[in-house]
Amino acid sequence: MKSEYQPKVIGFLCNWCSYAGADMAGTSRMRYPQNIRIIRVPCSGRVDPLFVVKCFQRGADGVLVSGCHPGDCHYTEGNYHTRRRFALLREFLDYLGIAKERMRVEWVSASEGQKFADLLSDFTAELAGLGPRSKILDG
Amino acid sequence: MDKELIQQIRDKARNLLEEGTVEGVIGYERASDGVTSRPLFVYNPSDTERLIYDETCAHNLVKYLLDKKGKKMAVVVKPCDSRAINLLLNEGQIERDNVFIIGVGCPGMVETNWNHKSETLQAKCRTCQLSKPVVYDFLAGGEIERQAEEETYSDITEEEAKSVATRRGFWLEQFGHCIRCYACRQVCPGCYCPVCFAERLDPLWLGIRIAPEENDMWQTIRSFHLAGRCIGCNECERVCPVGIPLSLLNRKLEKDVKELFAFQAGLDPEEKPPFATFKKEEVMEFEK
Amino acid sequence: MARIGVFLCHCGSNIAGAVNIPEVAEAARRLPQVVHVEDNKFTCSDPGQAAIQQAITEHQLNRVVIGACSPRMHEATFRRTVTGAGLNPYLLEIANLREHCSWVHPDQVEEATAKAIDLVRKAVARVAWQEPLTPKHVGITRRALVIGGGIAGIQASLDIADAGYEVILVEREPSIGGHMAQLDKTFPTLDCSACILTPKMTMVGQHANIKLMSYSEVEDVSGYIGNFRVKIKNKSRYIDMSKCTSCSECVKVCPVELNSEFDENLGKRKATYIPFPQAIPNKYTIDKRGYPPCRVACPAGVNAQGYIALISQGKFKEALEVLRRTMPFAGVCGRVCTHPCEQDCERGQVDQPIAIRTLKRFMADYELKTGREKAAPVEMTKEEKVAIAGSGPAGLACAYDLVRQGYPVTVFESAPEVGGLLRYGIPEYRLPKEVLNNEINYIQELGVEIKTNTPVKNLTEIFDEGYKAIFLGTGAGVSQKMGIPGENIPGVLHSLDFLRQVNFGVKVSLGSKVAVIGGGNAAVDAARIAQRLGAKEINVVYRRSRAEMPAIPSEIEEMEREGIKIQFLAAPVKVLSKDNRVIGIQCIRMELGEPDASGRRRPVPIKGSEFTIDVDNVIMAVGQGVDKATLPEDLDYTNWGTLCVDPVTLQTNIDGVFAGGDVVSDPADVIAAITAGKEAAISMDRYLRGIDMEEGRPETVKRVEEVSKAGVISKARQSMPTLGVGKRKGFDEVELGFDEKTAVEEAKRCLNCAICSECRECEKVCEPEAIDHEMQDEISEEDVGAIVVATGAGPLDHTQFSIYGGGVHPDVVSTLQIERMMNAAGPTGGEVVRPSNGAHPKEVVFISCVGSRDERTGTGYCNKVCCMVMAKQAIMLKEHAPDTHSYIIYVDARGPGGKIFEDFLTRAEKEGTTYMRGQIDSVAKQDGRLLISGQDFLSNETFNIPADLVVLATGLMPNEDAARLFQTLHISYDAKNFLLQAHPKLRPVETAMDGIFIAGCAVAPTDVPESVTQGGAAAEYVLKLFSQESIEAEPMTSIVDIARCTGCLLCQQVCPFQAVEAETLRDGRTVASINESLCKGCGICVAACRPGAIKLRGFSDQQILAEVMAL
Repeated sequence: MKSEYQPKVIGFLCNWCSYAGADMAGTSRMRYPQNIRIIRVPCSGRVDPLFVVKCFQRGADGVLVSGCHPGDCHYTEGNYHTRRRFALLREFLDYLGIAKERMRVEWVSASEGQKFADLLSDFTAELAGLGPRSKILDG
Repeated sequence: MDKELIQQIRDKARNLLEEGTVEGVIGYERASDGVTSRPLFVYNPSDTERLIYDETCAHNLVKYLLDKKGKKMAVVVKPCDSRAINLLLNEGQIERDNVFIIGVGCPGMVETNWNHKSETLQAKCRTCQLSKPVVYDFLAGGEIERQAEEETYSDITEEEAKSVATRRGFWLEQFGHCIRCYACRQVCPGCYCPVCFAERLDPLWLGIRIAPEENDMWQTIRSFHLAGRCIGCNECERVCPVGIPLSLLNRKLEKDVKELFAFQAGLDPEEKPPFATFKKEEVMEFEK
Repeated sequence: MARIGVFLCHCGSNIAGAVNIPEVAEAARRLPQVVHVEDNKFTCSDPGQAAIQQAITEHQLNRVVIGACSPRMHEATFRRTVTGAGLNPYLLEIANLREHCSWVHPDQVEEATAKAIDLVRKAVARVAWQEPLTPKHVGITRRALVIGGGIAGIQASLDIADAGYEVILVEREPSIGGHMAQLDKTFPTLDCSACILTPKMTMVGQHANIKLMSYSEVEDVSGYIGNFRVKIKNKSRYIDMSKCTSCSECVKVCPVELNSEFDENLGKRKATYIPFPQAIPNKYTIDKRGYPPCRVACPAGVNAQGYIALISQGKFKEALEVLRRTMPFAGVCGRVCTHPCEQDCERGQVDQPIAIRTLKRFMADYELKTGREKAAPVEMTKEEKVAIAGSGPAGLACAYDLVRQGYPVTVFESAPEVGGLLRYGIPEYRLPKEVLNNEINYIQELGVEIKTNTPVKNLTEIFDEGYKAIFLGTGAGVSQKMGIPGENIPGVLHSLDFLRQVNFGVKVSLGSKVAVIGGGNAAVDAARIAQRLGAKEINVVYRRSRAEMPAIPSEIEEMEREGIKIQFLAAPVKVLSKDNRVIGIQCIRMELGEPDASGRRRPVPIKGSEFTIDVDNVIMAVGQGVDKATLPEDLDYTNWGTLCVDPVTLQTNIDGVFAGGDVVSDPADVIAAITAGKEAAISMDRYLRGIDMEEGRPETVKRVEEVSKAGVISKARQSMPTLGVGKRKGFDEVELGFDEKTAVEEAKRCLNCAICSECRECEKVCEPEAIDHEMQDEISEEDVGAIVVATGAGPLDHTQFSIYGGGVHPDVVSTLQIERMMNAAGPTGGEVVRPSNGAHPKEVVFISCVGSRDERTGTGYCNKVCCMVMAKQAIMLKEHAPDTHSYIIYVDARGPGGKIFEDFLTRAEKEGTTYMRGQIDSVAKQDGRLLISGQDFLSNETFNIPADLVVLATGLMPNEDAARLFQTLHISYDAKNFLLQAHPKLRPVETAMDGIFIAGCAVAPTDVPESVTQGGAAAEYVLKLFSQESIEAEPMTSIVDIARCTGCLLCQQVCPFQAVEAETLRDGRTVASINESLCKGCGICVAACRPGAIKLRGFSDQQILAEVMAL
C-alpha cells in the first residue's frame, strides 16, 4: 500500500531563479515525481510564513520554498530574509510536531534544472518515508 | 509591602501630575478582594495615595501605553516589563518623550487567584536576572539583589527531546482546550495590529469556528508573530483561562532566536530585530 | 462576478501527448466562475490567439486562464492578445502545463492529467482575485552614463554623443583606451592598434557632448530606468588638470620608480606619470596609496619613505629637508630613536626592514661633513609670544613647530646648557655633542630664543611678560630610589646624577667593581660609561629575563660585547657596606609569575636564593620621577606624580599652559617626547587662534592597505659599522654610520609602500604650480536615464601558472608582454627580447588555453581571442626578425569570426610557424634556455623543444572588484564575475535591470570588432530608450493600506530599494508609504508586514492563498 501513497507537495518558487530552474528541468525533459504543485512568487522573500503554515493546515505533506542562491537574488537581498524567516519557522513547526523534514528551503538557480529535478525526487522519497499526514491531526 | 518604596512611587506620581509633566500615571492599586492588585489609572494628584506595589502586581502595564499614544503618561514598570518599552520604542509605537518611566525593582511576583496569593514565585521570576528595569526615568526603591536561577530552557529541551509525534499529540491536546478568547493577544504588549490576522477577511487566514486546525494555526502564528519580539513578561500564559502553557511556545522561539541570530528582544531599542536584518555570511541548518 | 474563460493548448503533442486535454477541459468546466472552456492545437499561433479574442467578446469574459507553456515564455504574448480584445492585460493567468507538467511527466498520463487539473484550478482561483493594473508613465533623463573607457565604452559613448545626447564616461584609470591601447597590432588586418584607437580617444576627449571623468569610479547608483542617480568618485590626481601642461618636469625629479602597469611590468614608471604618450586626458597623475607603514608607525609621523626615496637618488640635502618638515632631530633620532618604524617596515616581510634610523642619521652626518648653510630665520608673522620651559626634546620640538608657523618663541632652560636629557642623559659615545649642537643651532637660527640658567618658577610672571601660551617640557629629572637598606651609603650612585656629572665633565671616580641595577637604557648607558671610566668588572642586575628587558637590543648586544655581564632574574636586597664604604650587594634570584598590568610577567623572589656580588660601587638605574619642587605652583598632578593634562590637547589644569614629555608621561623615549611637543604645538596654535583644540585636529593617518612585493629580490640590510671593542676606551662614538654609497644602496631597498613618497620635489619644479599634495577625492552626483557597463576584462596573471614556468622563469611571458615589447613605444623600443638577459630569442613557444577551457585554473570555456593573438604574434615575430621560429602548442586552433580570420591562421602556418596539437608536461630550465616537454596528440609522441622564450596565452577575466560595481548596479554576474545578459541569444546587450546595458569583455571574452559591435548595440538601446516620450513603469508594485499600518516600519528596514518612506498623517500617526517608482515588486515587505497592511499588486495575499486553497 505504501508504494501508492503520493505525498502532496506545495512549492513556492521565485520567478527569477527557481521557477526558471523548474522550467529548465522541463525544457531539458528531465523527469521528476509529479507530486509538486508550484506557486510562482516574484521572490522567495514574498513568501509569508503564514502561507507555509496554511499549507500544512490544509494537509500538505511537504512544503518547498525555493529562491536564488544567496548573493544572486534578483532583488539583491530577498533570499537573505527568506533564509532567516524559514530557518526559524522550520524549527518551530518541528517543535509543534510537524517534522522539519517536511519543510525544505532550497537555493536553485535558473540553470539548475537537474538540481531541481533531483531535489524533487529526493524530497518526495523522504516524504514517502515519513508517511502520510492528513491535515492537522498527524505530524 | 515595602512602605518606603510605595511612598516613593506615590510622591513621584503626585509630583509628575502636579508639575504637569504627565497627564496620567498608570500604576497598581489593591483589588477589591483586599489581597491581589489591579491596574490603576491616576489623573488626579489626590488619587496617587491609592497606588501600591507588592508581589501581586503582575500586570505588564506597558500594554496600556498603546491606548494612550500621543499623551504624556507615566507608568510603573517592573524589570521584565521594561523590555516591552524598548520593544515598542524600536517599533515606533511609543515616543520616549511621551513616557515617564517609574522603574521599580522586583522581588519576584507570586501566583495569585481571587482573594488568595500563594507563596510560590511565578516561573518566569525564578530565572529573571534583572535587578532593575533596563530603561527608566526614576527608580523607586533602588536596585534589588536577585538570586535567580539561570535560565536553562530545560523544559524546552525536554520537549525537544521527545518524538515529533509525541509533541504533535501534546500540542493538539493543549490547543484542543483553546476557546479562542484571544485574551493572550489582548494582554500582550507586542500584539497591536489594528486588525489581527485571525480576524482578517482579505484574505480569510483563519476560519472562525473553534476547531483544532484553526486553533493550531492561531497559536502557531500568534507565537511566530512574536518571534524575536516576545519580551518574556508571560502575561499571555497568566491570563489564559484554560491554562495552555504558552511560555513553552514563546520561550522556544526566544531560545532559537538567541541561538540562530544572537538576539534578545527589548534589551536595546536601537538594535535591529532578527527579521529586519541579516548577515550575508550566515549559514542555516538547511544549507549545510 | 468573474466570468473566466479557460484556454487549453495542446502545443502539438508537447502537452497533449502526456495530458488528457478533454479530461482537463471537463474538470475546468466544473470550476466556479468558469463560463467558457476551449482547447487549441497551438494557442500561441495567430488562429489560437484569435480564438481567445473571439471568445472574450462572445462570452463576455473578464478573466482569462491559458493552460500552455511557461509564463516566462508567452505571458507577454498573451497579455497582448487579451489587450487586443479590450481586456486589461493583467487579468490573465497562465497554467504552466508544459514545462512543469507534460515535459517532466511524459509517460504518466493519469498523474500528469490530475496535476494539470490542479494547475488549472489553481490558476482559476488566482485569476478570480486579479485586479486590472495600469502601468504608470514616468519621464526620462536623456543623458547616459558609460562605465569603462575601453574600446566598447568609447564606441558606445561616441554613438550616443553623436546622436545628440550627453554622455558621462567614467574610467577608473588615468586614461581611457583600455587594453586595446596596449596592443601593438590588431588581428587579422595587422593594423597598428594605436593608429586606429587614438583618433577615437581624441574624439572622446574633444566631443562637446561627452563629459570624460577619468580616474573616477562609480560609488553608488539609485533610481530606475530613465531616472538613475549616480554617485561618482573622482579620485584625486594631486595635480590640477586645468593647470598641468604635461611638460613632464615632475617625472624627472620624482625619486620613486615602480613597474609600469601599462608595460605589463616590463618597463618602469614614476610615481607621477602618464600611462602612455597618447593618453586621454593627457595629464599627469600622482599615484598615492595612503601612508607608508613607517610613517604611520612613527609617533611623530616622520615621513621616512620621503627621505629614503631621495637618499636613493643621492639627493641627501633634499632628503634632510623632508625630515625637517616634521622635526629637527635627524642626528639625534638617527642615533637614539627606538625606531618603531623599522618594526612595521614592509621590507621586513621580504627579508629585513630598511635601516631607517641609520639612514636618518646619515643625512645629519652628511650635513655635518659637508657643512651647512646657516638657516634663514623665519619671518615672525604672529604677534602672540610663546614661552617654553625646558629645552629637552619635547620643548625643542614644540618650539620648532611654533617658530615655523611664525610665533615668537622663547625657551627657558634652568641648566647652563641647552638640550635637557639629550645632553645630560645620553652618553657621548652614543650621541656626540657636535651632532646635538648642530641641531640646536639650527633651531636657534630659525629664530627661537633660548635662555639658559633661567628656570620657570612662576607662571603668572611669564604671562605678565606678555607670553600668551606656555609649554612645560621640564622632564623627569630625579632618580627614583629602591628603598633597600644601604641605599644612601656614599658609593651608591643614581644613574641620572651619574650621567649628568659625566656629561657635564665632572670627574667621577669609580672602583674597579661596579653593579648597575635596572634594565632600561639608563642602566645600559651607566654600565658602559662605568667601563669607560675604568671599572673592570661590571654586572648589570635585572629582575626579569632578556625578553622583557626594555633597553634597545642593539645597545644590550654592544654592552655585552664590551664585556659587561648581566644577571637576569635577580634583584638587590641590600647594599653591603663596611666603614660606610660599599663592599658588595646582596641579591635574590627571581622567577617569572603571572603577567602584571603592563602585560609583562611579574618577577617573584625565590626563597633562600640570596647571593652576594662584591662591588665597590652600585649605580641605581631603576626609574626617574618628576621633581615637583622645580615646577610652578597650582598645577594638578596624577597619582603617579606626573603632571595632569588633557590626553588630546595636552593642556594642564591652567588655561593656556600645556605640558608634554617626561613631565607628563613618565620617562618614555625621545620620539615620544618629540611627539608630545608637536601635539602641544598644534593645541597652542589652535588656542592662540581661538579655535577648538579638539575638533578638527589632523586625523590619524591611513596606512596603505596592500604593498606589492611581487618581483622583489631578497637583499640583506646594510650592517652598521662599529668601532672595534678594543678601541672603545674614551667616549668616541661606537656606531660609525653609513657612507654615501652604503646609504644609497640601503635606500634602494625601500619598497615605496605608498608609491608617492611625498618628498615634494615635484612641487619645486612645477612651473604652472599644478601640484597639490593636499588634494582630496571629490564625489559628484549625476542624473542619467541609461547606463552602459563596459568595464572589460583582463588577462589572468601569467605568473600564477607555475606549471608552465610562469613566475618561475623570467623568460616565460604573457601575450600582452610580447605585445608591449613589439611596440616601438614599448619598454624595449620594439625589440622582442628575453627578459633574463635582453638577448634576441630565436625559438619561441606559444602555449594556448592557459587558464581557459580549464575550470581548475580559470574559466571553463574558450577565451575566443587567443588563437588569433598567437597567430598574429608568430607572424609579427618573423617580421621583426626572420630567423625567429615559433611553435604554437594548441588544444584546438580556430579563427572564430570566419572570413579572413581563418585564413590568418593558415598564413601563420605558411609563414613558418609550427603548429602542434598537444599538451605540455613541463617547462624546465636547461643550459640557459627553456626546455618544453609534452605530448603531441596527433603523432602520439612526446616532444622536447628547446626555446628561448615561452609565451602563455592566458584567459581573460573581469577584475576582482568588478563584482562590487555590479552589486551596486543590481545587475547579475556569474561565478567568474562576467556579466549576465537578459537573454544570451535574444537580448545580448540588455540586463535584467531595465535601463542598464552591457558591452565588451565584461560580458564574455570578445575581440576588438565584437567589442565595437556591442558598444554600438548598447548605444542603440540607449537611443531607443531616449527616443521614447516616457517609460511604462511596472504596475506590480506594493501599496500600503494606511488604516492597517502600525508604523513599525519593518518594511522600510527590509526593502532593498529604499522604496519605503515614513509618512506622518494629519492625525499625527506615522505610517509607511511606498514610492512606486522605486518599488521593484519583490514583496519582501509584504511578507514582513504582520498587520497585513501592504499589498503587492499582482501577487496579493488573496491570490496566493487562493492558490493554496485550490490545492
